[in-house]
Amino acid sequence: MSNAALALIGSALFIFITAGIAEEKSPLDDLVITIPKVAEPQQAPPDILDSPEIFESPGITLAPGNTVDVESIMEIEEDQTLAKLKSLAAVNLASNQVYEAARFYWRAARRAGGDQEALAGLAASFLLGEDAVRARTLYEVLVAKYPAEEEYRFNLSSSYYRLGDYKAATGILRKLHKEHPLDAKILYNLALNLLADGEKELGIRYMERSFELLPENPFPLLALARTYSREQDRGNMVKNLEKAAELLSPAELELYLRDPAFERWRGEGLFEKILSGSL
Amino acid sequence: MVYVPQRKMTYKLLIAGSLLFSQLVVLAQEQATNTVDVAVEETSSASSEFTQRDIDVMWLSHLFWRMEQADIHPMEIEIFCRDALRLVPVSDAAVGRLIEYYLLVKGEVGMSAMAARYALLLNPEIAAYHEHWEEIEEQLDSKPKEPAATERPSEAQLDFEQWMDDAAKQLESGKLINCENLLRSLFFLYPKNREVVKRLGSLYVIRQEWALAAMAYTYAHWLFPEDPDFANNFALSLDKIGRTEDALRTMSEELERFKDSAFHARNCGFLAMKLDRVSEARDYFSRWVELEASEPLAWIQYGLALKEEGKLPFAKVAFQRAYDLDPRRSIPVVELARIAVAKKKGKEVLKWLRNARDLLSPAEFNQLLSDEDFASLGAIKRELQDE
Repeated sequence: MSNAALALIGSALFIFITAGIAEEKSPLDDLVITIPKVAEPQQAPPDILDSPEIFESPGITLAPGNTVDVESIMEIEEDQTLAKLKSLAAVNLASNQVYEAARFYWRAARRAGGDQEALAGLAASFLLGEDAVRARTLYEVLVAKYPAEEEYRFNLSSSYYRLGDYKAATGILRKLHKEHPLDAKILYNLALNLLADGEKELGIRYMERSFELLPENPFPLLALARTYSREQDRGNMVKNLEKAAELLSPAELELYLRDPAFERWRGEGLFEKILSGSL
Repeated sequence: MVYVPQRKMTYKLLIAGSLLFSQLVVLAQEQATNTVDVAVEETSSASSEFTQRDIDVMWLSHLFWRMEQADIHPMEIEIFCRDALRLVPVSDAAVGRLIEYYLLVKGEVGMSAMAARYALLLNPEIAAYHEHWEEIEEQLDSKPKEPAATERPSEAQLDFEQWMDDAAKQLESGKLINCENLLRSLFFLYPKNREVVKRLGSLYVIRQEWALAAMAYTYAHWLFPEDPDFANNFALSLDKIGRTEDALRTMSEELERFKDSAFHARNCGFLAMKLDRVSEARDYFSRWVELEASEPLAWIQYGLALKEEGKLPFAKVAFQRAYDLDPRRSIPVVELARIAVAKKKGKEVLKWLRNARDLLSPAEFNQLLSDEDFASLGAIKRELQDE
């Protein structure tokens, strides 16, 4: 399945909006990652992306053709306040411009010497940009510093998941689940980790519970279908895919069916029937 | 369940202390390729603070990690390399990658020549750079310096002029990316053109991309060794990438070549001051004064260097000269007041402080009076306040 295609579907589908935090599905493995909300004011990214530094002596003699007002350009740069940098970063993150977002958050973080929001944004950008190592490092710092922030713990668990450390991720998610037993996204990520770690029975139970709590979300169904496919449990796989087909367009479902987990059933005409609703 | 790092090495510990550019890049590269080592122990309170340096190391390692991703878009290579070079202008990894990108991916001979000259400057011992350079030099030979001159302006000549004008307009309106695109297009066609490389260098200076500026001027200096502006800018860009000693050496050589160049003498002086080589700086400023005797700034810098050396009578003469040339400048007045305090000449102190009061804002003047040089002047301060 192509990342670009999944990214399109991902951004269109799995968007929770709760308590000011927009949560977006990761395009690769349906993992939920929370991202910082877009701060006001929103402004277009500027043309100039340099770090602020006064043009100091010894000065460089500019070529005569470039009689540009260097100071006015520096003013534009200087004008980029911390709030503006964070706002630009959040706008970029919300529109899936992950690298640009990370760049703005990095500038904000280094300017403010460890600003919480900037560091959290940088961490989220790393995680969304698949750089789980740096995401983990930053979230570990953030969790150590702000242990009450659930978002950081949640995303730290996502970083562990990306790095294949399912036990560490499960540890965090179990605690979060205890605190919020009706949170579908926590259950969903917990189930993903359990399934990946070989705890199939519990994973399936949590995945089903996640779907019960948020029945408009097709991803638990797809995860269950993948699991049953690997187990060669054709009946349960089909049952979950049929339910998912009610929530997804045929094109979206078709993309998900390209997952290698469904490989063994290809060529039977089974998926074509599910897609056409004629099974 | 508690996560246990595979190595007990906290992030803070890893990057503690004052790091040089090269150390920064080594750390970042280690981290970029290492998926387990960099972790913070959850219980470590020391690791819960992030300094600017920590953030930079992390960002740099992220950039190096991105460069290594298999699915990287070719266009992204330049972005990541340039971003890395903003932080560490001497990063060998980023420069090497840029050469390959410009040469092999984009076929930009001029840009690859810039990067290769810079790489050779940084690491002349690396054979691969020499091999790249040979290839680039061959390609450069086949490129024209400018559109062929014809009796009537050719389309190429008109385009060249038009694009240069457009680039200047984009620059003036602050559209630096557009300006770079236009200049790069011209540089692609005419990689040996003096005006194009000059403007590119200036653009990178304005963007404060010192590595790119250094690349442009290193190449320009190689291409036009007789040009004093390129020589000057080459030396100053060396300073900007953290090679101030090399910058001074180069600038000093240029001063010997262009003996009447006041700005070479001036910049030599500034660079020497930056290196705390005060007597050397004084010599350069002395030359600047000889070459531009009517320039108050030259006398001020000369005076400051003399003062730094403790040669107060000579410093006083220099500041007095600067004052005579331009009595509206506050620095000579303040410095003359300081020297008068040191010489315990009350009347002179009062005279120069009165002068300073006229030149400075009330806030600046009050700040000056609270300076430790003037701390013991109770009576004079009262007299000034009464006035």
